[in-house]
Amino acid sequence: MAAAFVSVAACLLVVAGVAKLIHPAPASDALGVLGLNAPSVLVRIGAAAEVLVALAAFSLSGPIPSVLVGASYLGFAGFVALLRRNPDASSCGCFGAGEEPPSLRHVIMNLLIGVGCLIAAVSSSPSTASLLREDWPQGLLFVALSVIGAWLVGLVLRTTRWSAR
Amino acid sequence: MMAALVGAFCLGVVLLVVVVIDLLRSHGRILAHLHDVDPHGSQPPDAPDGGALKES
Repeated sequence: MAAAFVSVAACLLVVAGVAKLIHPAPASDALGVLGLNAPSVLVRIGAAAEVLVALAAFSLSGPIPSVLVGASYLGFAGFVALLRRNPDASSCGCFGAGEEPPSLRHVIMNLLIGVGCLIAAVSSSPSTASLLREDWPQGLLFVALSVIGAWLVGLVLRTTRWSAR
Repeated sequence: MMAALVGAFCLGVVLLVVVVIDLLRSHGRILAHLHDVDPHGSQPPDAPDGGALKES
């Protein structure tokens, strides 16, 4: 059951990683607000690592990919929590050019996904690729549900802006 | 397989409920704001110009 957390988290990680590969400036600015001088090249390297971790979580079974994805989200939660304490931070830079204000919801969402991935690692949940190999029609349904789930997580994070208005 | 599918479905439902609640909340806020504004063009009483009627 926790496999859904890893799959949704990995989908979101791919989207965020690609967005930062294209527009690294907001993430660089957010790191700069915390006093961490990160040029665009460094942000792009981190974004590429995000995408690789997500692809590993999709394709490889075993606890290590799930732990890596979970650790990424717990790290993001800490990063956004630190950003929230700084009034100069207008965006977390997670999704490249799309401005997402660092909110409490953002922190909670990242924590929940991170913990879900760690539970998946402990319970040795199957990877998305192994589910597809096992039974591809149901595997495709699982992939579709995961993509919808990732889209909904994005919406949950975006509705913070609507609510703040 | 079934456990993974059920998990993905339940996660989606929970997220959908959160999104719908958020939308309803923001919709309610918009409606409350519109309710405060006089349809004849006057501003709400707490507007910067004191809610004076606009000249057409």
